[in-house]
Amino acid sequence: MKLTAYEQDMANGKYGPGLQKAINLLIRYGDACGAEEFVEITSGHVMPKEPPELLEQFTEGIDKLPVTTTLHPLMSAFSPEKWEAMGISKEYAEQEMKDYSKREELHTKLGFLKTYSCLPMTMGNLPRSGDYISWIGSCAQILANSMFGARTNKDGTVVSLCSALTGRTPKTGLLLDKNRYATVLVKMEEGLKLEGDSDYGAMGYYIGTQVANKSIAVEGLNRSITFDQLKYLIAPAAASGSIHVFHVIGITPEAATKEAAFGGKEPEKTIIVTRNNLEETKAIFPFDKNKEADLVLLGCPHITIQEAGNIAAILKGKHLRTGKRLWLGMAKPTYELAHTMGYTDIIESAGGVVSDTCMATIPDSPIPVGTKVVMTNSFKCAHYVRALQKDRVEIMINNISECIAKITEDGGNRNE
Amino acid sequence: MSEALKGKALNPGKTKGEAVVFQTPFSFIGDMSPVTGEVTMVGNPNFGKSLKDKVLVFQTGRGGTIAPFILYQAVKNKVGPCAILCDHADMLTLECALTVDIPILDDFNGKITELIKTGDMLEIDKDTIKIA
Repeated sequence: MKLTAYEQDMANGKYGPGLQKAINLLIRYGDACGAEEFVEITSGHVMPKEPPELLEQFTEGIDKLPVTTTLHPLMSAFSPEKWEAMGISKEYAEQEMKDYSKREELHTKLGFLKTYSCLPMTMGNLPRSGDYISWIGSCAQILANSMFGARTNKDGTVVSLCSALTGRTPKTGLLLDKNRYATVLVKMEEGLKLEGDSDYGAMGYYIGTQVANKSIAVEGLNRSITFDQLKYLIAPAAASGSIHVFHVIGITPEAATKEAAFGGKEPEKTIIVTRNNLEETKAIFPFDKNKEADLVLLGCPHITIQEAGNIAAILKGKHLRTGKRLWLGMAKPTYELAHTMGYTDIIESAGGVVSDTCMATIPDSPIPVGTKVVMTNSFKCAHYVRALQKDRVEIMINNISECIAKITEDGGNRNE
Repeated sequence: MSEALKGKALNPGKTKGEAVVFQTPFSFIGDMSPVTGEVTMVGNPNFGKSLKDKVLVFQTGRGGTIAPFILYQAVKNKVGPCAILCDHADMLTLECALTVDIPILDDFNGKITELIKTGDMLEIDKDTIKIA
């Protein structure tokens, strides 16, 4: 790697042991990847689950971060404020609180933005098309690369931390034009219309199972597609598979035209998605109208303000039936706005618990005793809950409205 | 009798240890306990085996972006491996090895998961591996 004078000084320890350690790890990483130089990043997004000693080592001598850096959710259902209401065990919570407090002190001192969200672009960390960034989180990564045209590699927790601390990341992989072009074209069968969040999710999840380690471009979606629909379409493709950039022709920044998405080349392969493909994909997490659900998980990726409004409208005049749980993953900045709008009052008085934690990694917390059937609208959530909980619970998928209908009944507040 | 294998040293170093070979992709999340260092893959021939100070040999990684933190914990608990050999080291496995600064090599002349057997004693020096 060719270094600038400033990078060389960092590597020699001129700016303290933390930066020295961080840049040298990135230099070895860049060398092994064949990178020739660093780029300056415009923002970072890191995982706030650092072993406290590791965070201390890498930040020793640093007073302030060079770029805007947000924090991801904690990667479990554990929330310092809500764990009790969620039925998480006291033993687990006490253990988590120790490390949480140590980390939070350092995060605050250095100015990490305590967003605790997998959608940092909706709260103060909005990358522009062409920006170099280093972000954690498979969903944040694929959305930043695809929906926003920003450039991040699928960095792990340590490379993204070192990049945020130094403001540098090796110029390699998805930071390079040639690795971002689509090579697979995805078409929709004639007359196929996507309806409801589970259709969008099924399509993204299906595409992820069909293509490995490539960028793809979807043709045939309407420009009126919403942020939430794109989110449900794109996010699960990073869970079921390893898609790099998920272009949507005519919609995402690097795919204004088919030619632009493919860099002027012909697709190597074309996939046609049918209604049958979508229904078979939903059947991986089969919905059974006769089966009871114990726990409904919404907010994977985190609930946006628009979804919060929709959920409140569905929940109005209803409450959770006895023994049922409703967890909603929503970051605090969204919660504030939802509260101002009166949405959270409706959600919470119906019995829902809103938490800024991760709904996909809940088995880490672990899942409350007595929970046998989990229902969600999210393929990403269903995928990880099944993978992490080793068949202890069953998982069903359906749209938000069906999820809520399954565990609620008409009537005022739960406590009335 | 001893023979030498050459690979690409992605993080060069010198160490020795007993090989534990996996014929499946490996992740530090879920496949190994960071507390005991034991293999937790149910049904795998290496299930229950300790990876403490072992040379971990597998084809490639299978993801999990938090893996570098987990390996860091294992090494802090003194139950981590001493080196990693892969047929093809994915970026995340490379990041894991760099985080705890242990040697990692890949790109051998042939499949490393077939050239080495569990229980082989290995000496690693930069890009060279000697099987005792």
